[in-house]
Amino acid sequence: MFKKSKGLFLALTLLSSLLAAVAVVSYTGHETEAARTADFKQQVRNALNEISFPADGSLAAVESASERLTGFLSYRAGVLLSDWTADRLIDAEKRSKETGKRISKDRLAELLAKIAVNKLRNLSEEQKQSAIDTIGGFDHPDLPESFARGREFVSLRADGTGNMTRAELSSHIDSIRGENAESRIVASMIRNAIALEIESVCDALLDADPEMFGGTKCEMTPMQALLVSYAVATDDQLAGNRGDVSAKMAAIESAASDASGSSYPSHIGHRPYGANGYIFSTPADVLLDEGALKDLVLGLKQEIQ
Amino acid sequence: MKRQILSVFLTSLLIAACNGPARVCVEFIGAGRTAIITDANGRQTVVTADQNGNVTIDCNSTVETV
Repeated sequence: MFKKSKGLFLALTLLSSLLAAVAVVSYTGHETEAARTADFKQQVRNALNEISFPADGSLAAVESASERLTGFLSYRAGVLLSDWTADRLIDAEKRSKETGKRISKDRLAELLAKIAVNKLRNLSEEQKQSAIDTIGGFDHPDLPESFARGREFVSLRADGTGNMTRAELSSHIDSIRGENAESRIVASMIRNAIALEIESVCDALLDADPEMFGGTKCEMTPMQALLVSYAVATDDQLAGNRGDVSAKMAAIESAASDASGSSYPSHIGHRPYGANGYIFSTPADVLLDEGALKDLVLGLKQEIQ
Repeated sequence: MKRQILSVFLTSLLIAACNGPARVCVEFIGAGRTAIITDANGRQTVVTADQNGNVTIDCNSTVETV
């Protein structure tokens, strides 16, 4: 009887110890995950503070915000707004602030899809090859051999989704050209993919700053819509200000050197995003060139008329 | 005839399964975190997790968070 009770006692003690250990590990895991999420939200707030959207529709406030936004797009990914386009953006933002009119996620998705499909259909063969090479990732003559081989494949998003060979991507781009059923299907898929990306960027911004869109779900002013469009095109998660992003690039340089066993090219002098971006490379120079930005800003302006 | 169609369909599925893309795994590394991915052939790439903290990689790869 005693032996049986002792055995049961031991078994119960072991079980409760095991449960306690599982609880501690699980709690610690959640704590780490929560800390990481909080850190990410803070990084997004740092980026938004660097831009600081205008609080009112006064010309001075809007002009100054436009300068900060164009500076942000330039240092992050080399995306350059001409003076002409910047002036139209200022007009549109001022009007949005004065009338309270905003741009919905759906309207932005329509506008971006139209511009993207048009851009893809009209790419020259040279531009197409250059874009595919850019999506292959950061390139440099001194890239370690293991990273150079990593460029044989392309990933459409920074998190590794849409991974494929260069030939596959080339074939996908070709399928959008021409007025046929396949082209229309691909165009519709691009529109849906853009809508999902806009949703994702909106969610991240709202998570970090619930007042970001004036308390609405994701109704954007033209400047906010331009920032979201930029984030969708370059997959810049809008996390971190200039200092944060520079520190992140330095950390990548160090980790990539350790992982490859040879010196990884310095991050100094490189942009984090856009063409040959150090963190994630996208053909922003093609997708968000002067013509595309002009079409985008004019489209945004029309939305709030 | 129906049997022939079914047979062709199943054969196509089998070929697709054999030649399909590498198995894809979703790994949690933390929102916005960056990692160096090394695949089974020693190819290396830099990835950044989405806002949910996930990266999508070939299942035979190793992940080293930066």
